[in-house]
Amino acid sequence: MIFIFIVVLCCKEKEIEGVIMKLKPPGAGLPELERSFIRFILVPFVRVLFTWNIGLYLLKREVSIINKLLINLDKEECIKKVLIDRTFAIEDDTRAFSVNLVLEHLTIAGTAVMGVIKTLSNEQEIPGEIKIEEVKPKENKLNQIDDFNKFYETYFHFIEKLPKKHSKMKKKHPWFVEFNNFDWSVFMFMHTFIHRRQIEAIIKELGESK
Amino acid sequence: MSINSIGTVLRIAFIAFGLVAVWYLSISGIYFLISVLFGLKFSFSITGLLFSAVMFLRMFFPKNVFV
Repeated sequence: MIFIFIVVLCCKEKEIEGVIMKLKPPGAGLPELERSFIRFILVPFVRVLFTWNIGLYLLKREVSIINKLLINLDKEECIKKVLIDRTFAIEDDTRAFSVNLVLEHLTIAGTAVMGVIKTLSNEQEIPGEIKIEEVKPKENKLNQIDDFNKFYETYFHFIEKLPKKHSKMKKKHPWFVEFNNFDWSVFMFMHTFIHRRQIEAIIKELGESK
Repeated sequence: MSINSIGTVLRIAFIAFGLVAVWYLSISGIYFLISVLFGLKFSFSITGLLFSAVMFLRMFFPKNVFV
């Protein structure tokens, strides 16, 4: 009986590995329908309805939700990679992430976005293209949550001190349109929100695989 | 589309409706205060008009949201 159980488990793992191998590579982008929905509907709506302070308030709320979600997870569960269904606005390769890989991505991408906001706010040009592949996580560290919280504290402080003025300089997001400093600050909320939903999907999958 | 994706889109719609309500209530509140301070007649149809005007203005100021 135990032998059959082990065989079934091994088959399932092999099956998951097979699916992971078939995932699209980093930088493959979003499906056209999702990309168009975000570009032509969501971006204009967000620009009309959001202000700097609304964006910051909602971002703080997201970080608080993420911290609450992780309270009941132990460190081993946080680094366990699981395969989830595609969630809205994430690339195919990120379907096989652990919770800590998502946190690492949020920290790397967030640090890059903070640099972009700082440069655009000084009306300076950002040379080169932003590449999605460059903000992919690699380490899957045990204590990623500490780095995550430390970064967001720095970011909140940075935005609170930043003069709330729309920059004329812009930098294009690889998937959407050109964003100024305000657009990037609201993007920080949307990005964290999308990945909070991914963390919820990972936690659900972890619970089902127990 | 996965259940999680549908949930995300619904949450985005919920946030959008919430923000529309926040803007509408803020504009109506300011209009109400002005009408009380200056003894003007308060009308709900005017709150709708003011809300539409502010939203239209925000489409092009401080920046064109479609570009």
